[in-house]
Amino acid sequence: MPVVMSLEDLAEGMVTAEPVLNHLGQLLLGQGLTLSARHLRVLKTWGIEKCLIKGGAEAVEPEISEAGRTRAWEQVQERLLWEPRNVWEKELVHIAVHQTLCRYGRNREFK
Amino acid sequence: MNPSPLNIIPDNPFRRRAIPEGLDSEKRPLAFTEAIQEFYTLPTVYSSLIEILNDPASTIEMVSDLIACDQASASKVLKIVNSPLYGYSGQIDTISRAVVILGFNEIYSLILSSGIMDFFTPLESLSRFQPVEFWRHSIAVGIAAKNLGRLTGQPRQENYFIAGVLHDIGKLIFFQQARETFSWALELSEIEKQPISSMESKLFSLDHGRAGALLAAQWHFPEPTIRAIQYHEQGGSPQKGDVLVAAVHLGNILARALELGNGGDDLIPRPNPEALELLNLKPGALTGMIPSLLKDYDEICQTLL
Repeated sequence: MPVVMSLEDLAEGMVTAEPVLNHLGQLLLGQGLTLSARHLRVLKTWGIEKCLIKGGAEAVEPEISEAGRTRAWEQVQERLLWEPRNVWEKELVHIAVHQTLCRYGRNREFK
Repeated sequence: MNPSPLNIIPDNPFRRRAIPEGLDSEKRPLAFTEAIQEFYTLPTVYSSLIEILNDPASTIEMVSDLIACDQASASKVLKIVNSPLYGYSGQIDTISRAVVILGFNEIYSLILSSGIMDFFTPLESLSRFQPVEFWRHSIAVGIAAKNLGRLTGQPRQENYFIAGVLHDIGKLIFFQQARETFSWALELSEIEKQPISSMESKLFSLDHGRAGALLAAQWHFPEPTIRAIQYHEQGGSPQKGDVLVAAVHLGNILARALELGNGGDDLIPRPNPEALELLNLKPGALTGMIPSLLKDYDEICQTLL
């Protein structure tokens, strides 16, 4: 699940979820590119404030430990107070856990 | 040249009279119905707009001229209607064109919402309630509701964004009129892990859905929007098959699952099964709409806040 991230939060190793264009519409970085220090400088030079970064299963999960995942699930359960019964409820819970994992990935608290 | 309608709007357009002593005294049921009627009178520019909109002899030029006098609102409305949310990317360059394409009701609601945000956003925060976070949550619900309306192929999608944005407006009345009691309601809700609305009902004798609906009715919002505000927590209204209510209900839960802004607590309520059945989304549809939702959210928060 891609997440919008501002320049100051971008870090090497993150993966672009869509092509990054400058204000003239010229391609700066392609989709699916793993950001390096040079790429981050390019974004800064062109004044790109935000870009869409791959999140969730695509990019974050490898960084999160099993303990982190368990804690994410527990945190979501504290806010849920109900058990999912049908396909839509399960999807909502999955989205909430996914979002928590993305947040962990960004903050790098639960590695 | 006619004077700008802005000149007749007082500095504090949504509360034109001082609150009498005693109303803010805490920890007893308050007569909010009266307070709403008394203190939240519609600013003159909006009353004029309603008069023009209801007059069969009025023209699009008359409406556009009145809106264009309020430059700040006009430019925000143009930015929103040109955002991906409405799908007219960059094509609508004048208010009159926006009125033609989106219709009077949608434009009226957008202008009024923008004014309401400008008024409430600078209010001082409580530790559990920050107006900017509140509006971020509300915008997320608006975008989610609009996306759900589109996903389920609703023929008329006006009001979806606005109904979502305004769904919690009743909380602002409590926040402004009885800050300490509202703060207490938030705290109790956190301790007891219960929705804020149940604490509001105990402390104020009405919840934010009902309070918001009273205000929306007083400000002449369309009936479906008023129902969405009143019943967004329940997920169903007395009107059978109320898709707008279901969309705002699920949009609220989705915005909470995604942690977009904060409406006063971080609980993720269980969706009403009838609302889910009414929307009848394909499996994966909710997850699929999230990338565009996040992008729109970022853009519209920047425009409005």
